Amino acid sequence: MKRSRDLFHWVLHRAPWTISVAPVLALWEVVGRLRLFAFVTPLTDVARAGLLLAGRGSLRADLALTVSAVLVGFGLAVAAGVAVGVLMGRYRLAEAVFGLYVDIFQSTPAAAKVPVLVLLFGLGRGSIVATVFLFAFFVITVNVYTGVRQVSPTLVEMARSFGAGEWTLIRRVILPAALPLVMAGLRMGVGRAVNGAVLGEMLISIVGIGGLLMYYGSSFRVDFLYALILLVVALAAVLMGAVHAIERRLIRWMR
Amino acid sequence: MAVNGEVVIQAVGIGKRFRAVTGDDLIALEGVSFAVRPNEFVSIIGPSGCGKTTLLRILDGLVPPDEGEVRIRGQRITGPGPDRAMVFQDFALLPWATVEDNVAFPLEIRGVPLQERQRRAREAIQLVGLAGFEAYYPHSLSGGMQQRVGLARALVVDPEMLLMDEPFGALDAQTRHLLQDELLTLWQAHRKTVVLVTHDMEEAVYLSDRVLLMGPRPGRIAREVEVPLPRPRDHTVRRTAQFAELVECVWDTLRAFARP
Repeated sequence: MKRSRDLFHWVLHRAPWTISVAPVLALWEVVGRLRLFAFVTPLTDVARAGLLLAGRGSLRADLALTVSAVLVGFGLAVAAGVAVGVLMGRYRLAEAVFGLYVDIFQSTPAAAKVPVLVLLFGLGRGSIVATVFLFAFFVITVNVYTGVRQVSPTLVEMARSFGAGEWTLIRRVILPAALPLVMAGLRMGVGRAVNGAVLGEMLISIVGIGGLLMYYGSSFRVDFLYALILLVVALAAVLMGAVHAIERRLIRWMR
Repeated sequence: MAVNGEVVIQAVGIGKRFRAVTGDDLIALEGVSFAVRPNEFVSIIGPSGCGKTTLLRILDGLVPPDEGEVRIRGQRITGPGPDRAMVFQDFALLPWATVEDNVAFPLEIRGVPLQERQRRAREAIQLVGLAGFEAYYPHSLSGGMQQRVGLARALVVDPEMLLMDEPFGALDAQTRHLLQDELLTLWQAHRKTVVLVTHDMEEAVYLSDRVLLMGPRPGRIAREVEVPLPRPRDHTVRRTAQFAELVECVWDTLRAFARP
């Protein structure tokens, strides 16, 4: 009795997500076994398909392709997003120049821009990286901008009073003060970057994990399809976890 | 008084306007002129909204005046300078930096090498009685301790002039008295030219050689009260009749402003 209560407490505090995940996985297995829907295969079948995929050397190559597209596109989006966000937050002129575009682009469906990217960058890696960039850039920019706008004017005044120039001010006051929102932007951005990479691979050139998704989807191999979807979810979770870990290291002073 | 060489800070006909929401110009300061002698402790006191904080920011060079100019040793200022250091009402500490890094911040801005930075920061921290708290973060300190950090940060650059913007306004009465005593002791040991903005009449009289009284909008210097209390002073001076009289004198003028 006591044992089970201890277990419950351990789960609740150390791994709360199991409480939300376990029932869904169980339901998935049951629905699959009962054959209620044509395209819901039991979880155990999906796991078997996943193991089969993992056994193939080609999966590693496809995964590497997708991950590298995510990292390159996301890296560019971070650099550009932080730069544009700081400029917009700091200067009325930059806000006037970029603000409208950021608002418009952020609210149009990203997938609708993919054909334009193909026209610009061709049917290759360039367009996929550009898709990743577009998916991640705006959410990073908007968060950095908001963070910079919220920096206490007193801190800015203090630094200027002691003779800080604009560059020192941005590096030593603005960015550290905006860090919580910058990191929130990066966390959302990295999730969208994975989205963008998979979508780009599906729509532009059938490569990487996105390519595999297209292949198994159109050949109705749903067990493989689900295994790949879970792989994408895991990839996004790992990358967001990495950003979160960096965030916790940087914002240690808050605790 | 304005014999050259005897004056460090000179405000000459300073005026400042702000654009109000209605679109009209709001005159915050008009024709403000005064001079501060070397190592003099001057307080500026006035009702809230009289523009005294704006005046201090103009003296620091953070904002330019619309009319007139500030001269430091006869030179017109165009921005903040290493000869002036500001102490802020709400402390303005970097929450992500330790006490030592906060105090060393002005030195970092000026490109002082790390070792010297640490040494001078620790000296300043010692001076304000915070030795042992170097590695603390601001949020774990009381308001009084936070303002000691703010004071140490201003002292670390060894400025000629200290500009203080209601430095003790955010503190409780007890802490305020304590810090006033310590500021007095510090100032008497390491003379500097101080301009202190406050709305606390006793604080102004207790610390200053001279109190400048500002009238309500548009802000201008309405009156000047010399404080002939003997130096060095300590808290016992607060109980003297002369002290009470001076505070009363300041109060009389301010009360006249408050009349509708």
